[in-house]
Amino acid sequence: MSLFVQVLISGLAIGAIYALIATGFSLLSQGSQTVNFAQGDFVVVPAFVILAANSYGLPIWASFIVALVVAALVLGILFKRLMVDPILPHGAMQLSIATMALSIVLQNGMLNADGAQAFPFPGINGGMHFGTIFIDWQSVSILLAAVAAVVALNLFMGRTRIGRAIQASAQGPQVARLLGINVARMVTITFVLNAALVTLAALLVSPIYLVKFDNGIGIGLAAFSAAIIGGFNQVRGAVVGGLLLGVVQNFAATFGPTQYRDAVPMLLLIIFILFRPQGLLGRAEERRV
Amino acid sequence: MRISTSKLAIGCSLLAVLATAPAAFAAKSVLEIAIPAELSGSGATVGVLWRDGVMMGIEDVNAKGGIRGHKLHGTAYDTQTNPAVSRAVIQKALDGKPFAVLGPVYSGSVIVDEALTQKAGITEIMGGEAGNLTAQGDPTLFRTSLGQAQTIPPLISYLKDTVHAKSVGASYVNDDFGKAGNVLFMADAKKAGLNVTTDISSEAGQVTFQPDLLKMQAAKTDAIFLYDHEEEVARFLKGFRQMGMKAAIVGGSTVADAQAIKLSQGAADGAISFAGIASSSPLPAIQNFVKRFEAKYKTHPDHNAIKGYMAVAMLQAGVDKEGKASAKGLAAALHGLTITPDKYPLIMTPMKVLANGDIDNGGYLIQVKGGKAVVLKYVGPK
Amino acid sequence: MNQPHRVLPLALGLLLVAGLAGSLLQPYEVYLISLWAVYTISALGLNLTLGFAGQISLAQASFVGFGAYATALLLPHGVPFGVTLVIGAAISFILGILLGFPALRVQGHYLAFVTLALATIAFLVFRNESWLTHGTSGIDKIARPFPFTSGVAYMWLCLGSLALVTLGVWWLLRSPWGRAFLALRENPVRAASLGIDVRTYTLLAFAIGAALGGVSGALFAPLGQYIEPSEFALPLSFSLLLMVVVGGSGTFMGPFLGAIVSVALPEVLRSLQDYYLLIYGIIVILLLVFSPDGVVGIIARAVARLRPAAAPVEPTP
Repeated sequence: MSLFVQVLISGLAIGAIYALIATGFSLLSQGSQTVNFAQGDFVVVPAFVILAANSYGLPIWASFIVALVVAALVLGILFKRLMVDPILPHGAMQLSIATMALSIVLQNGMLNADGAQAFPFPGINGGMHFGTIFIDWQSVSILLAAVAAVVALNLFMGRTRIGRAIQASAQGPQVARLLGINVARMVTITFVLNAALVTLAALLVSPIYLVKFDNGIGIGLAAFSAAIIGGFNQVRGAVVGGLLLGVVQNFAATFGPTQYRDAVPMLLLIIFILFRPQGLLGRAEERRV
Repeated sequence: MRISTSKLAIGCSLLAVLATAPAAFAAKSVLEIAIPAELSGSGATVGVLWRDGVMMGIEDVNAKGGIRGHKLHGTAYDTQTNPAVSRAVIQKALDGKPFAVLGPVYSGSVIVDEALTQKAGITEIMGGEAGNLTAQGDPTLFRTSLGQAQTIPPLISYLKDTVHAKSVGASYVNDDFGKAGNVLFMADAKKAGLNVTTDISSEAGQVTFQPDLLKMQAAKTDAIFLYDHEEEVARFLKGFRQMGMKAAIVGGSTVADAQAIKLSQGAADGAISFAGIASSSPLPAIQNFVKRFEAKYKTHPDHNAIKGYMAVAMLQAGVDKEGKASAKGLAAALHGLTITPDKYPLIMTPMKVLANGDIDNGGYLIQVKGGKAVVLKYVGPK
Repeated sequence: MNQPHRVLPLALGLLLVAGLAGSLLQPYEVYLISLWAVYTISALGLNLTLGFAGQISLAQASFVGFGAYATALLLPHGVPFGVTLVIGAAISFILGILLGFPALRVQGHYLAFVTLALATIAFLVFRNESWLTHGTSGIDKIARPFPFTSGVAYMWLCLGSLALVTLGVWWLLRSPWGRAFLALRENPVRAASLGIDVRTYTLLAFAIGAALGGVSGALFAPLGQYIEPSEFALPLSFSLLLMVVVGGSGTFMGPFLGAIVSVALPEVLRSLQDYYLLIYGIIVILLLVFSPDGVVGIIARAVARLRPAAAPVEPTP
């Protein structure tokens, strides 16, 4: 039993990070049909920015704010202006392939700028024993921060005027325009939101995962899978998909054949699609943000 | 018009220098060294350091006048950590008729390259450590560090005779390096009568090792044999300390490597490894190399950089044995050679080149103590 | 450049030029031309799936892997190369049908998801089942079929195979099937209303595309004479997708030109040393910014500007 709880908790912690990245992924996808294959690298870039700011003597929280600003500008606004705006009219497929090329650019850019070696990242040490169960503070902080971020995002989307305008723009740009919503601006805001989510994910995952130029491959793929499990372009689906993927991965690795630890979630995915092609929470008419 | 004799003398000697200088340069051709390495992709962690080590070796040799008067020129080729690309670049390198090939490191790329260098009769000194690489009988292929068949048995003896482990858990990264090590470890452990109760495969770039650790905990292992890359070693050990586990950690050279010690932020303390010559080796020559490398490249050289550097010394010694710089005879000259640092400072510690292309330059049983690798025992070349 | 009957001579001419050039060049260029031919076969297959049926497959690398492993494993048992090639293609075709059938039951991105799962699982099987595949140490010393043992001879085998595949795809697109594919690409709803069974044709496009992946794998294994699992993981699928789209997806010449970009451009850029892959990525992005229909579009526009009378080379609406 204690093993079960332990596996569950660490699975949820990893899953929460997947959920954050997958949420951003889904936001982009529904806001502008952008399937961002560089999403994993988007997590590594702010991690390097935090480390750089930190190395100039800024405390972590201030470095995080610097990274938020840089990410919002570069991974949010510049990404949209320089890549998405010119390529999307050519087709969503063209844009997806362009993000694959962007991933090559980002990885090799970081390799040249920061070298091939991994860097340690400050985190929260220690933990607590509850009987035979050990809970580490890093996992707890990841879970809390991720839950807070997702709740805040949902409140923002549901309760604020901008949030509702974003939703309207995603669901029907034409109607939104008729209602006087500046759709282009709303799309820009989703890009900035994505940048904020990946920066938060960078802060949370880096103490465990370290910072290395090619770390984006693994987390990007996990987030992609989580988004798929969750129904691809539903934010709440992405959250559940991320948590589910983290937990299933952990259980598969603990109780299954370790050589196939990555296969189990994928097999689940196939079975899942056979029986629920609309995704985890998907209902055709459901609110999408 | 009068010309002073001193001016005349200067003029004459200048003319003489100008006339003979090109001839002096032309007499000794430059030796082209091809360096195929993993400069991008997942292997960049090792490949970039390997290249930098080789390049530094070439500079040092050239600064001392080259090899028997021949300057060296190195050209690096990125394999992208992909055998198909590796095949293309080794072909490109061989089309340029290099004197020797130094690299690559990853097994797949080595196997692809080795077939072609062997056909061309070009000596290839590579950074791979997987056991199977030198088992093919390629007469032109050499290592520049100990192979797994040399580094794993001392660890098994340590587990058996010093730790007296009753139950060992093995954790390895399931790629060419980790799997080859695991296969060797499992076979030798069985022969030695070591009781390996769990054998856990992990992925390169795996985010969390908690499931792996819980498995180890459930199996009540009193020793763990950890065979993984530096970052994964750090993740594993941090989780291990956090969970308050007590098993003895024994593993490949990466567990006591400077990079793993730095990344694990104290969690590597107590870990034991057997490594060939590495940046933690307490030899003045090595420590001097580490300082110079750090000053030049602004990064810590691991064993891959040292391997690349020493490969250049192997070229020096091979050519001296031949008596002339001939690409064809180099491999034959290297077999059975003993290279000593008094004659070849770049080799840093005496190295014996064995008949199958393996080398022996000794190794250290190391333990991490207080964030530093401390030598427990030196095992000299046999 | 969309009309296959106009571009067939162009494609075959390109192959001939490549072959003649290769025969005069160094082994390095010969290898690259062979690799280009092998990747083009795979990209032609993926173009059927993506360009004509509009479905994203992330498993093309796995299909290449099935072809490569079938050939590498069966050749030492005395099975002739032609037979191993057919077996590899058949395995990929059957898996394509088995996977595509449930995935295409539903609309949307689901083929992409199912193929992502296949790509992950196929890689793990290649890596883990070492009793069959030799695992991470890979399969070494794969013999080239007689008489194509030299680099140049094997290049001609690759180019010859590509020529046959090109003819096959050309025939396919001109056949009633192909017309259905083209109708499907232009407007699936209209195609359905015209009585075209969209799902069956999509499934066939996917399975034939997969089979071509198998053919390309069969040629890939003896080309490098060594294979290992990581070569058939997702990065290859990504770069094949990139070839199709950068070349011009849904066009006949697209895969040929896209494969040139993917194979030759990084090699040309090598002189930039540490920055060559970064520059390569930027060039690909710029290409997609400035030409919606890839390299084919650029060439078509250039040709149209030079010869205003030659209208048919413009992409048909």
